[in-house]
Amino acid sequence: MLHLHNINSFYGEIQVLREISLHVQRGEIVAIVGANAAGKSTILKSISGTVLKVEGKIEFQGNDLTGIPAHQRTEMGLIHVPEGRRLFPTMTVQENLEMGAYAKRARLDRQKTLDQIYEMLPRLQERKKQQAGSLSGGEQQMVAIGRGLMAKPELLMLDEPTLGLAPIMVQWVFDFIRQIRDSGVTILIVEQNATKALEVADRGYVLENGQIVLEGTGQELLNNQALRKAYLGA
Amino acid sequence: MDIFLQLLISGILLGGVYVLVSIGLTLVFGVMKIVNFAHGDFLMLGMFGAFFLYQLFGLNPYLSLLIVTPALFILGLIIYKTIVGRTISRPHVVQIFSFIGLSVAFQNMALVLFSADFRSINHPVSTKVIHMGPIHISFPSFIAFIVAGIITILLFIFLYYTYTGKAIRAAAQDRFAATLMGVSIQKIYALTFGIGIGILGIAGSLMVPIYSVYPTVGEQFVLIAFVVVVLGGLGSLPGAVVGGLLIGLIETMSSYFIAPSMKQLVYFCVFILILILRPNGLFGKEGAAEEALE
Repeated sequence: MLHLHNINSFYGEIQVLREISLHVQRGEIVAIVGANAAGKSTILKSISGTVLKVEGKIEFQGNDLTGIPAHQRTEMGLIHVPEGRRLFPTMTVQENLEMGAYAKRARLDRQKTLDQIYEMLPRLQERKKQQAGSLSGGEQQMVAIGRGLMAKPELLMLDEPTLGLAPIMVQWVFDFIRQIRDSGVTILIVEQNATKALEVADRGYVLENGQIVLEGTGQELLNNQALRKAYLGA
Repeated sequence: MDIFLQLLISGILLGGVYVLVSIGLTLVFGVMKIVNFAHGDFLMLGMFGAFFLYQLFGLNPYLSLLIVTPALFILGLIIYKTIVGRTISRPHVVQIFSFIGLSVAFQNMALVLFSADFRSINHPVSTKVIHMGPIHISFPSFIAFIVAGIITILLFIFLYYTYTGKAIRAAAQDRFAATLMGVSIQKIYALTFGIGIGILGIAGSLMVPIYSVYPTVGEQFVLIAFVVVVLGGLGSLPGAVVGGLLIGLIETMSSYFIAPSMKQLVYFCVFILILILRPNGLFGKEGAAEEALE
């Protein structure tokens, strides 16, 4: 469904990603793990079209994404839930969710999708009139993922969805990710919490200094001695 | 007492004009984080538009706003596409000097085309006065005030109750996140800039019966607009309304009680005082100005 071929990405003069090749198949959960500043977020930004300079070829559902601006990639069902949630702080929870369905592919079904999301996340319905900025971190993450689902994603990319959350919320997020996948959405997740991420993932990639150093199924990576030493603290 | 009431009403009506002139400036800043230094010159174009529609075709200025407003909206879109949009992700000096260049170009274009003469229309509406007991109310100022109120309310409804308006607010709050929702930032910015300039078409038409028109008339108003917008809080619509009315009142009161030549001194003193006490303006968000400078 998604193929990256030898991607090099730059912020100005600084090269952040080197020769990244990876793929995601329909129905998978794929995790990208690695230390801080390894370039994990940059991979997602390169895919969503929000990095200024990207070399190489990214294919999504058979379409070459080169030259397609970010807002049109959303239109193709390629949805990026950014790190730090990036809600619209003075808009209400409901307005935030509604903005998720801005893309034409989702706009007509806005009300229907919204009802589904309120059914999945009843806490958001209780708080729909509250300003998003006034919610707790966990609730904000619910809104961020819900806003991503409002766009009717084919591929949902989650950037550090558990960052700064309480352990109970971390578990909830990973359970919810499984639930989303079971509803037919493919998932690409970037996480510092490598153990948890690899536990839910079908496959994973390990990123180090902008390069992929290991890949395999979630279980293989969890069992890899070198990786356990370096990242999993075991 | 009558005098005080008279001054109060005149001040509020004058404030209405200032609100109209300022609201587009604060909208554009709030959404796009750019300061339109050519704002006053777009107003000048609007005033000339209404002036010539009256002079050449005898069109009532209150009807000409139906032509001048869409014309300025379209001009705003064109200027956005050709100039402003290209400066969005550039350093601030590029943005500032693009606007200053635009301002110089507009003023000199007007000077060449229309000469430096002060012009005003000779429509009976200009001098019409409504008498309410001892109070005299200038008709064109009254109309300008009413329309300012209507425009402010419509703009508020647009931003808070329509989907496109919500997209504008989303883009204002987080450009990156809005892009990820599928919002085309360039389209939203072009629309916002068009609206900000279009409102000046309304303002220009309503002001032609009250003020003379000349190529640098914008300078006189853009200074006030900046005071109003900074006083109210950069990017805040309620701030522009309160700021506009406040400056109108201060100007009218100080002209009478102190001296007409001192009115600017007085409102600048008040301006400085408020900024000392509330550096972000009356309704400003913390960090709005810093954000603009990043």
